[in-house]
Amino acid sequence: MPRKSGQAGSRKTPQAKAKKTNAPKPALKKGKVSKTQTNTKEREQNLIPALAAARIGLFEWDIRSNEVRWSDNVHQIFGLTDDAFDGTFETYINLIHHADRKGVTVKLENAVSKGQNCDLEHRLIWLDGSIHWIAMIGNITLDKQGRSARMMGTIQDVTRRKQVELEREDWKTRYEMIAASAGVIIYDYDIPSGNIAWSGNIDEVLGYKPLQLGNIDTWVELIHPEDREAAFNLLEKAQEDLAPYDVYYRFRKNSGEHCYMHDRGFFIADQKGAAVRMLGMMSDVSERLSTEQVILENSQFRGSVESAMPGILYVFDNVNRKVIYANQSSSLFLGYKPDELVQLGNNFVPEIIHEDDHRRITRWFTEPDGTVKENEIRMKRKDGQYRWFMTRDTPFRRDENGKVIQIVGIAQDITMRKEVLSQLNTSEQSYRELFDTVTDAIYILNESLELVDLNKGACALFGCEKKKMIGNTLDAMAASDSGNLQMLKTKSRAAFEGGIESFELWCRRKDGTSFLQEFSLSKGTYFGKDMIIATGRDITSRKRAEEALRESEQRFRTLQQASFGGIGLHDRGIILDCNQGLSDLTGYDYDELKGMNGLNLIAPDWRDFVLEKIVSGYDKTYDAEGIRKDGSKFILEIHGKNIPFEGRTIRVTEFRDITERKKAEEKIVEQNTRLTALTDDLLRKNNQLEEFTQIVSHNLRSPVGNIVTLLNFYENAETEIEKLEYFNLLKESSSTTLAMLNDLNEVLKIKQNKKIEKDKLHFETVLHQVIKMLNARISQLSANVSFDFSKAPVIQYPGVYLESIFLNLLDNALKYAHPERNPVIRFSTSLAEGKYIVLSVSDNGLGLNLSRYKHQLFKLRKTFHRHPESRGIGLFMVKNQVEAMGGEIWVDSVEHEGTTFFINFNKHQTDGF
Amino acid sequence: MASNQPIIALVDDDKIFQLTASKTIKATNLTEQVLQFDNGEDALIFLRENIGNVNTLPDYIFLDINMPFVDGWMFLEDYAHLKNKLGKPVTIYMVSSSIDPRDITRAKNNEHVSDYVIKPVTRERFIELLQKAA
Repeated sequence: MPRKSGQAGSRKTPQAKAKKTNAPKPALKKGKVSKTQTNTKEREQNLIPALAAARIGLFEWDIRSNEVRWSDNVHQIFGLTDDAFDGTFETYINLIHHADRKGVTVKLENAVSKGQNCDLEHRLIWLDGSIHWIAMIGNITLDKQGRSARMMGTIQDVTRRKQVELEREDWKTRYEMIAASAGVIIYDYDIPSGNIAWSGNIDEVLGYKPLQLGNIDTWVELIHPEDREAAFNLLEKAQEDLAPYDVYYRFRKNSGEHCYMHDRGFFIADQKGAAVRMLGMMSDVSERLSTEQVILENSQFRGSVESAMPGILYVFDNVNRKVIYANQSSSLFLGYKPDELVQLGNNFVPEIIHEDDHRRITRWFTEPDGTVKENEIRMKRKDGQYRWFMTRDTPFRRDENGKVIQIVGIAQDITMRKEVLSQLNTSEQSYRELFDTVTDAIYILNESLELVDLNKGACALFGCEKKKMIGNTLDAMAASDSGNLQMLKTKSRAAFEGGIESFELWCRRKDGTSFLQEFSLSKGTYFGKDMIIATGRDITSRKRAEEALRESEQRFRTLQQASFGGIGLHDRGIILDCNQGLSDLTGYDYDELKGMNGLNLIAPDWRDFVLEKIVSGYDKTYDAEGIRKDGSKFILEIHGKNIPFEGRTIRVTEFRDITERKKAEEKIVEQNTRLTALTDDLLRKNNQLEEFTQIVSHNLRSPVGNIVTLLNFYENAETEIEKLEYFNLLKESSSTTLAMLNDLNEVLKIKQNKKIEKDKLHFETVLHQVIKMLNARISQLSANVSFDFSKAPVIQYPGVYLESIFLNLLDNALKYAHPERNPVIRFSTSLAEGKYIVLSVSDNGLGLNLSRYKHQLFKLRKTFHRHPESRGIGLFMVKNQVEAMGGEIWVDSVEHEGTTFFINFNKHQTDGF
Repeated sequence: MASNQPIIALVDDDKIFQLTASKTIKATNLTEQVLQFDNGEDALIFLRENIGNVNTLPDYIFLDINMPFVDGWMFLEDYAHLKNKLGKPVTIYMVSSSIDPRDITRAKNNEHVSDYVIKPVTRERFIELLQKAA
């Protein structure tokens, strides 16, 4: 786009249009005859040639009649023959390029309606298809009413001008585009005014709007201060000389950063030779500059690399034995400049190379290209000092026979490396010492399992000299040569792949004895080569110990197999081993038991108990319940003991099924219980027997003693009255003794009559019979007798006994009733411990002091009350009857409050009740 | 009542023994003063009632073992509490028809019992017993 601010813009406006001209109107020539033409005819005649020369035609348009008249050359302009135009406005309009037609029509109508002149350009298409540009200027003539009556004007062919103009526009556009795409800014500096016009891409390139840099002063300010003076000097000189300029400077962008600006241009001078315009282009070359910088740096780097290269690059003539070329490094490494080396000619070898190394100089024949030969030689520096160099040579030039005549090579100073190597040798020495100091045998084996090296330990092991062993293969050292090789190959291959391989091998010493050696192979490096490092150890004695251990284990196993019980070895419960006995005992087979948690052999309820024993290391026998595979349970006797085993502490546990023994034990306990019961029974019987003795000694001896005494008295009586008295007393004593004997007989009957018949008795029925018997007394005392036998209403018992028991107890209660209150007597039964029938008979009678009388309560002829009817037989009888039937009787009483008798009918029943 | 005659107490439920023993003692001419108690309780009551009376307290008590209500053993238990309060020393003979060694041992081991006497007791035996203590 043609925009150049100030002066550029001013140029633009006028360029587009045809110049208005006030020149006299050219004569018009009408297609058809015009009425008005007569007035102007003369003037026309003068003008026409001029107009024709200028390719200008005249027209007259009668707006009202719509007739158009042309001068002759208008036809030419329109590319028409004189007759081809019919003179109508419509035809004229149709001749206009369709793209412009509308614009022309509008402009003309506008001019007519407003009565204004018009000035327009449009295209025509000639009949031959070519396009022509027309410039038309029309002036309106108004009628009396002020309306447009006519339009008259000129028509000019401006095609050429238009083409130039368009071309210029094109170039401008193209240039702008190029400038934009290249990042080049175009400027036009008007020196007198100081104004600068910039191309549109300035914004894009520098970030400024064209107006921001509209003045030269601004531009100056943006040049980097350091570059400003130099740039100005250059530009001033160019301005003075009116010469093109080409300058670089740093320029500040709107972003604040500087870019490298490449500014080129020229000055335009006025007629006096003073520069008035400065046209040029600026481009940001930062990127290019930095690339150049890199290239520069790279080349510097190359240089420094070359100079720093740790070697001399050379070309050597093999035939003449002289240096043809050497690089600069020669100065550094040898102290000779390259040309000095070249100048040495065939003196190079004798002068520079150490005489001991002459024979080592590489010889070349017809080796193929790319062959590299390495060598190590000493070369003498200019200062006389020899240095070690490593050379690497490759063929460079050959003679007609293909023989290498020149080589190119590089020599590196390896003196340091040599020194290090010698140090390495020293350390190798110390390594060797270490190697030999180790008591374990160390072997270095190559891939074929040949001994490359071995230490003193290894020699000692075999009792053989090192020299004699090196070169032997490992399998040759074996005591027997069968089957080892394959194994050794496998192991060494695995070791080479990075594994650590261990194995045992019986080896033979020089003296023929054999020993077991434990080998451990691993991959290692030996003087830079991959080798197998094998360590060996004589484990014969260890093995023997292990064998012995195994044997003892075997014995142990045999022993435990022979054992009756189950024996298990376990480590914290996990069974490591066990004997057949344990399988027999538990129903699991050996494989199932091994690895099983031994606690699974214990019934769940007992596991905590057993675990506690294991944990505490309890080493005495204890019982627990075991569980078999089939879930059945059995009584176990367990005897565990901690023992050391293979370096651990494990537990040997013996299981014994003691179910049978336990049963026997239970039987014993049961029998013991029975025996105890029997003993108790016997004791009771003994007590009863003693009681009987007492009865005999007390109750029977005394009346008999009385009789003896009385008989004595009788014999010595002096009077008959006296005799009669004694006789009566004798009779009384006799009857007392008889009564006593009868009572005793009753008791004896009870004691002997164990097999007395038992009946199913209802307590209530029996009690009713007894109440009937004592009814008179009950009524007399207004006694309240009640009962509750609901808990145990029935008993299997001798009827006579139960009646006797009830009768005596009720009689007792009535007999010892409290004088101040009516007797309340209650009978009841209950079940003690679910099986014993217990009768209780309570009263509210006199009660008795148990601490005093308890011991004689149930004894014969004992009374505790001054009661006329106390005979001391009732409770004695009851007690005997109860005890005879395996029962027990006891009493509870509080003096003055009442007494309760209890009878447990079957407490000691042993014969099945 | 001669003051030098000892007072004898017979504690026994056996009426015939009471009679014969009483006659036998009197026949010894050693004393006429024989007190008779049917049981231990009556004897204890008498002792308590005459606790400081030297003239009425017995010098000898012939105590039966086997008696209703309060027997000989029970009497001895209570007597232990009375003994020191009594106005004079009392000699107690345990008298029983029992030849049960347990009875004899038990009686002899009792500190208040001077001897165990087996019934029947002859006149000579009474003299011996009464003279021994006197």
